[in-house]
Amino acid sequence: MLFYALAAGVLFGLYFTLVGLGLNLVFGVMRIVNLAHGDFLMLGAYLACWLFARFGLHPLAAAPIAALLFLVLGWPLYYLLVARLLKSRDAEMLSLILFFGLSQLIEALSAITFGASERSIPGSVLGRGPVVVFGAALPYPWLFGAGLSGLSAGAVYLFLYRSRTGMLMRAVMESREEALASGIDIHRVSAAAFAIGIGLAGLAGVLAPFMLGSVTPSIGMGVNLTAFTVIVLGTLGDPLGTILGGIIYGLSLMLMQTYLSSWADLLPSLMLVGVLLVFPRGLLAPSGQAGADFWQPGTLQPARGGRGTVGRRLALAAALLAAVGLGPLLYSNQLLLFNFVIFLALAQGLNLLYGFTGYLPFGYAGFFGAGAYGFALAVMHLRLGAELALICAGVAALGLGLLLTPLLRLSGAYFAIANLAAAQAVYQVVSNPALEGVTRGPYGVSLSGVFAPQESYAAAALVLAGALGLVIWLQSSRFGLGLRAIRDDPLSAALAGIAVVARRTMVWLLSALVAGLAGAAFAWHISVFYPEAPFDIAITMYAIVFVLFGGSATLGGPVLGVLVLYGLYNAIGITTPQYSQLIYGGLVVVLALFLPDGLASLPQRLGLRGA
Amino acid sequence: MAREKTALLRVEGLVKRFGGFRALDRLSFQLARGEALGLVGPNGSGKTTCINVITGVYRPDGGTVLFEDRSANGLAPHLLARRGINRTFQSPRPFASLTVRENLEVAAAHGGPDGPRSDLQALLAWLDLDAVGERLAAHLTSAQQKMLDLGRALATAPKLLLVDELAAGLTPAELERVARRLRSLVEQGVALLVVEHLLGFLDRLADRVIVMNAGREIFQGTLKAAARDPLVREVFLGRA
Repeated sequence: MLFYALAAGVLFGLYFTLVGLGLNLVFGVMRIVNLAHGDFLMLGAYLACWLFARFGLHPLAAAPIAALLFLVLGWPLYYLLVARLLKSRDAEMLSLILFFGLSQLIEALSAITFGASERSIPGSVLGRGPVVVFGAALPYPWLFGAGLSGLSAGAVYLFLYRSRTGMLMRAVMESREEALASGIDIHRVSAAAFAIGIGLAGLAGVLAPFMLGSVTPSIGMGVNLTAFTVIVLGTLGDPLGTILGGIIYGLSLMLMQTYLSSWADLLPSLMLVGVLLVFPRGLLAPSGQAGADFWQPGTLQPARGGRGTVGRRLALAAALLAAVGLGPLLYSNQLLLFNFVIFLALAQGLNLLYGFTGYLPFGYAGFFGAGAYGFALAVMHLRLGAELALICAGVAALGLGLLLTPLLRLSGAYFAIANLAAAQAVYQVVSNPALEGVTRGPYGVSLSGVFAPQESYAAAALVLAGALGLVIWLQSSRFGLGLRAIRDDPLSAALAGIAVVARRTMVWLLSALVAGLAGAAFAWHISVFYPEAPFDIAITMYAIVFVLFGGSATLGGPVLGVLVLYGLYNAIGITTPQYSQLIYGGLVVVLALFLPDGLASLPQRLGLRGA
Repeated sequence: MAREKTALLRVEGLVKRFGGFRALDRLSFQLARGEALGLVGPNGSGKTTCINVITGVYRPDGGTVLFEDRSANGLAPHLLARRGINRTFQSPRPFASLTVRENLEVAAAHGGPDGPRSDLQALLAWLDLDAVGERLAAHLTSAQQKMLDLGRALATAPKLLLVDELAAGLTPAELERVARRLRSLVEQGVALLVVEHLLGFLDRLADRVIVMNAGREIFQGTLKAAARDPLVREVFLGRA
């Protein structure tokens, strides 16, 4: 049993080395995070399935085809997206947003093109029956996966250490500035690394139907989290460290599946969060100056915030709340109105954190879900009325926020990814069949006993009022001025006497509270839902898009974002979720590339207003 | 300078390691109110690390820092700032998106040991920044940003001010003004620790100097005496 777990762990882990290898190469050379890596892998898997179904092509023959094809596709993609991205002030952060959009775009396009049903290739194609090694029966595909991974890692090693371009690539990984100064054509080297990264994703994808059992268009994000876990374990930016990361990951997964099977799915997210917190730079990285990182000034241009006075902001908030109050009298689609209010609140809640501290919470939906389930559990188990259950929801979101407060020690992309993984972990706990007695697991909850559409609408409106109030407070108070100072330079802010950590933590908790209470209002209003609904990553995506579209750190920006984009979305009457995902994914890409500071920055960009 | 000189800052056996490298190796010294101490030494000798440890950027790996006879070891920078320890940076780090005045307001609002100072207009004038008070800090010249860095520190009314390479890149006329300003702070009773390469500038300011090499003190005394010290000469000029 143990031997089986160990052998399987190493083989499985080697496959995940291949999954992470390309991602790590891209990060190492460009310091950007390709959140669409898993989606390229998914496309590789579909290619293999198609080649097998159409031409009966053996996956091992499909492998070089996929690798080459994706390599060739990656090249122009670099010049289309990444070259522009690298010119921006904070490429790492912006890359997260851009590739997040691209990931959604690819997923939606694939769902539209291939359908959402599962694809697979019969395992027998790669050899019948298991291979028996010292009494452990291991499936053939795992051997192929491990073998292909070993070959690829060897090829990458030879390329990096024996070829001229590889040598230049290592120089760029070592220090981009110095490479630039010594006349290396950074774009050519980066394009090569990006293309190889995409090629490796395609190659890994060919074996995905075997290693993951089957593929659907939505596997991308899960694969990404796993790939991140692997490369963070093996040290970010060190492609060969990925081998170590893959093996550690594979071993832990197999041991967990052997001895604690129902919780094994939690492993990637928990490991990712855990490792990032304990070894923020990976297991192989020297821990030397980790503390000094904390004080590095943010590179994102802090938004100046709106120019309006407190009076104008209060007037805007009052007008918005009046519209929310009158809405139900003028318009009959209550659910749509309710969704508007929820998204207005969520966008402002995310704006609190992102706009005023620069932390981008990719797992924001986790708080929304925690609030929804805090409310549901209080109603189901404590038999509380809705009002008290709302308080419990707030406490649940704050509790989760407190639990995740150590994440604030991470910066930029690390924080965003760790937060995403943490939210994923919460979802996996809540929806775990083993917890059916507590959360009803994947079967969803029904709160019809407290169903009250008007009251829950009013609750959502109150949450919105609170969120608007918080934003106005941060825009016009000394507390908010301190936050802007922290965003500009945390060390100077500390020397000005500002308690940097405490102040960030406070905004983080307030932002979590807004999402949690919004989630509670959602649970109350919907009253019957599955765990997927409140934990949907699309919720985070929408909130991010609305804030980015309108402009963060402003009051009107996120409001504008919700009204225009969510309004547009409903006006067009897009009923298929894939199409909205497609449009929003595309919009995120365009915003990240051309208007990273939102519409509110447009007049300034066009030179209509002085600096 | 009839003021009685009691030790405001006592540094005893300070050690700071980065991996296997000892950036500070059992450094000890004292600094009194109204005293200006210079810290000199070749690049990498540990001068800036010393400032970083005293201001809480790094936690020391050994030794103690006593400020007003209370331990200041490993406290967060904002707590040290509130107790009266502040600094400037080699390359200034102002709040770029805030105006010059807001830069000082933020520091004044969160205060130093005796509560925030209220005379920000006077401070701006003293720093020759009164004409650019409403300008964004990002749009200042680098000499102005240095003054703003100093202003941000002074807005918290520090008792101990650590100045890291303030003179580099300033014109002779600016140097003269800055030296006079710092000297007047010392005369008001502020303790000054100055890391400086420009020895002429340091000579105008510091009552005595510590010469550092490889994280250790190799000399303590007046700058003139330092120039005659054989070990100091060896470190600076190489073995003759």
